[in-house]
Amino acid sequence: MSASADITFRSMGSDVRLIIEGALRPGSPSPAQAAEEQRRWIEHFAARLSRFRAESELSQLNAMPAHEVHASPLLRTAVSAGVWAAAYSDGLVDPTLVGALERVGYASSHDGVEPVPLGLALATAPPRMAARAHPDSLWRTIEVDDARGVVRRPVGVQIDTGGIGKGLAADAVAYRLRDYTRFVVDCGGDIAVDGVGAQLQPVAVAVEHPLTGKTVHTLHLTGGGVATSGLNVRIWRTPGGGFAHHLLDPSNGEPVWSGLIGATALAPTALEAETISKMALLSGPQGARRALAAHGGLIVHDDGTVELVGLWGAADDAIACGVAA
Amino acid sequence: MTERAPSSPSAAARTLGLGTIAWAAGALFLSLLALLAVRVSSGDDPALRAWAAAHAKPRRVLVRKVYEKRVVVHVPAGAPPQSASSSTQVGAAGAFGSYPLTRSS
Repeated sequence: MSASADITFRSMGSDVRLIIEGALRPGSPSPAQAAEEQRRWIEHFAARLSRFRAESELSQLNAMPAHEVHASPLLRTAVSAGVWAAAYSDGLVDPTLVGALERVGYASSHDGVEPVPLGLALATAPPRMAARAHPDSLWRTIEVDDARGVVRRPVGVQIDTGGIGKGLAADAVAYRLRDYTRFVVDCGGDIAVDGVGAQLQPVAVAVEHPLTGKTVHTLHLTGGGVATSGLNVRIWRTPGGGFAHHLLDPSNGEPVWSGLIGATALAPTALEAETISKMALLSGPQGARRALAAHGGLIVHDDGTVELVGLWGAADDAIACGVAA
Repeated sequence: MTERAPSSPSAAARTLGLGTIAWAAGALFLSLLALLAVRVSSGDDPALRAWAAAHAKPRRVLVRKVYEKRVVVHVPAGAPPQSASSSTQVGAAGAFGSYPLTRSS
């Protein structure tokens, strides 16, 4: 049996990394075996919930011309997570923007596509403005009925789990690894940390600057989630010569230029951290400070300035005890 | 039949005389006092001997503990060979190859 396992693989259009240390109970699979098992689970999760795969359960739901559609527990959970994030953010993190995403050029996976330089896009971006929720709030029309095993939504309303799916996957795998002493589940930057060992030996998590790629801050997590949203990875040129990215203003369906290019959030779970980080980036500097105040986080302004928010203070390193810094 | 009267201390005292007895007791006391004074003056006080034994300075004893730490890493049979291109690492507990990184994706 190996003492720990540390594997990295591609899934959900991102690097996924699993770090697992010793099992708490004798007879449990070794960390290496557990990592391989969770890798298969994540790949299965991604295959079922990708909107870029026509055969996925999510794509079939979106294509179904019926108000009520049978859905597996996994799909119902993912849809519920999307609706939860929308409610949490008052509609800013909206899972019903599939049509708008496709219109701005995100109809297929950008995995492996080199992003355009963010600095170039910022130079020609429109005036900075915080995003707003769509007045129609289509996400409110989505219903998940676990008793009957169905999802209901108006025909034509399409659902994207997107980044929320990564946070959900990180939390789900963290739950599945609860019999291990210390572990990290990193689904494309949405990270869940847990295990009794993390209480004794916190996990250091580096925060990457979206412009320079350098580490701008180091967190030490004893548990919980951390996530980052930014404009630097999914950004491309439009046919008209402009630039677009994947974080849209729900009110108009256009890429948001809020004055921020990155936001990192701490939270009790990776799903909540993902929601808060996205909410912060969409809200602009003022809204981001409010969104991050509860659990702490950091924002990166258009000019590259890094601002710590919440309980972190100005220290180079911060100790995140559970969810609070 | 004639019986002897039993002897008694009072009879002995009458034989030796009270003055003689007092003189002998005083002489014995003075001789013992002199002996004790000689011993104390030479540093051999019997009253202090027990106290000194109880409060004698302990000998210093040096105890050395040697800790030996061994880290044993078992690489499972059939694990992929580690190389620069491999994305899988198996390492000792507590030693992450690099920090997890949170970034936009």
